Amino acid sequence: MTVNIRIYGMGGQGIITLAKLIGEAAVEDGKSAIMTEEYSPYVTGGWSTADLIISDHEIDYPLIENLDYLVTLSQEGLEKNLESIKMSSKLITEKSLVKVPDLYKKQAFEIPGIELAKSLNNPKGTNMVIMGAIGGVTKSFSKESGRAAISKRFPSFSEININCFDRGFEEVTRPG
Amino acid sequence: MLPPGKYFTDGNFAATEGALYGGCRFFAGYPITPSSEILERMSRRLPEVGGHFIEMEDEIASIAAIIGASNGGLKSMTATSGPGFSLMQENIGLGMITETPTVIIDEMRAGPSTGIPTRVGQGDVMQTRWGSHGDLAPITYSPNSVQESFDLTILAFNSAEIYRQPVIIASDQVIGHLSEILTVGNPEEYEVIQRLTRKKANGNHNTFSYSDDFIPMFVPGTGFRGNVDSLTHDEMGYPSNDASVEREMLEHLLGKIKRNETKIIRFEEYMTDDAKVIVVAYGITSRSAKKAVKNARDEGLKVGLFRPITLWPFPEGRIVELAEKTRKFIVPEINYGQYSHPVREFSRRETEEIHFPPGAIPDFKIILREIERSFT
Repeated sequence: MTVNIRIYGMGGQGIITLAKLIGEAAVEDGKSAIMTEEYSPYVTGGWSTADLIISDHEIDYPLIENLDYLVTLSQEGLEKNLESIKMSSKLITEKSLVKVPDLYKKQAFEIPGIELAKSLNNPKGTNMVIMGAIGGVTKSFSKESGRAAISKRFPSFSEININCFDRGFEEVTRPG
Repeated sequence: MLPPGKYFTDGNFAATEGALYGGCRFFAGYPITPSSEILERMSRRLPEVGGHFIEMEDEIASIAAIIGASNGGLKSMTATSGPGFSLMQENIGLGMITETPTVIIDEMRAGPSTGIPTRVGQGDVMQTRWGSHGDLAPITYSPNSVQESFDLTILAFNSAEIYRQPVIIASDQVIGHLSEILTVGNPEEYEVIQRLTRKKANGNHNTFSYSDDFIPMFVPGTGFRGNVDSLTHDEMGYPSNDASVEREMLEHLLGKIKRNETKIIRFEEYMTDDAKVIVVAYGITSRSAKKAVKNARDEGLKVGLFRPITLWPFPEGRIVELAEKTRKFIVPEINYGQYSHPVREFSRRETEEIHFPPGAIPDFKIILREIERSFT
């Protein structure tokens, strides 16, 4: 199986870090992963995006052909990618920053990442909440590997980040 | 050194760790997107392995420093992108004429001039061959994956030592920033050529030798008195105005590469055995080309892929062989036609160029369409 995920946001939101952690977690699970990144060449606040392909097979060609999941932490990310969104695509958005048009509501997971991270005393952990949500929705990596990748990257802040990750995971997987 | 294992990491990380594996102990550079992560990582890693790192005032100083450091006895390197690579051209010639081993990574981005720092290009390919004035025989590697960013950097350090000259790695923005799996083996699996030096004259006072392809370097201050000069020089290293000395020196500089071409040249082929049309692609473009070739094969078209791993020296022998049973070559590049020129020159076959404007990874469908057109 192959999963194509595009993650979009603003410089400083931790988009690239988030994508790399997902790739690490997937590789830890024995899958193949490839990630390309793009960012505007200027400063914090410019756009930033990462394309991830996770597969059971070896991956040669790094471009996404069919977008399965669009994750966006900015309104621009939704608008720029409208053409790539298919009926079968799923959206994962930061609720307070992205207004999802009614047309796409049914296929969207609107995550209050900023609010949840704040409530867990880790306001910088929004990307970790989103990472948990991506794990829960896409099932492209296991919860254990996601946690392990976070601990490895942030050895001194592992617990508060894992809390955010777990909360994001729970947000999309709890029954009802 | 990086412990053996599987890593999900990017090309810049892999190139840095490959360099350390290859014995790099001196880095001088000036930060430039998309290669800055190499410099950043080196600034942290080199002191850990007993090496030295200097952030220089510009790229001219950077390459001067790595040539100096290598003559002082350490394996050295720098990393840059187009604008910095342009500034380095004169001193690449200095490295060639003084037969100084060193490694230069050029991560190609959209140009000319400062172009688009964060977007891919392949416009420096001819510059790695002809950029510095005078006659040169450069060695240029072209990695197409994170794995090759590691492996070819080790190889580049080895080649620099064996052939005693600057070796260029022409990577690109996508490969530098692409994250995928890097597998690092046990240290004993990697051959690393150590620096050979002469400490005593042993009756042989010459700094260079024009009759041997290789003569060990000397390290100043360790008992050997020698000369290193950017002017045309004889085997003693003394400058000369004599055209016959120029000829002797140049035939040595060019000949040591020409005579060893078969050992230096590396390439990879995919389905070329019965191919009537061959796509020649390198770097990130080769991955789009491979997908196009795979899809065309599914349609029953007899097409293959030739991927030069050493861009220079040009794999002339193999291209000539392939041309015998091939009617057409297709050369997609992220530029407006560079590597297509030697392919056309040596194959003497119809050579179609595909120009991908710098800025994005080539769409395989455009290459596929060109392949299909070749069979109608």
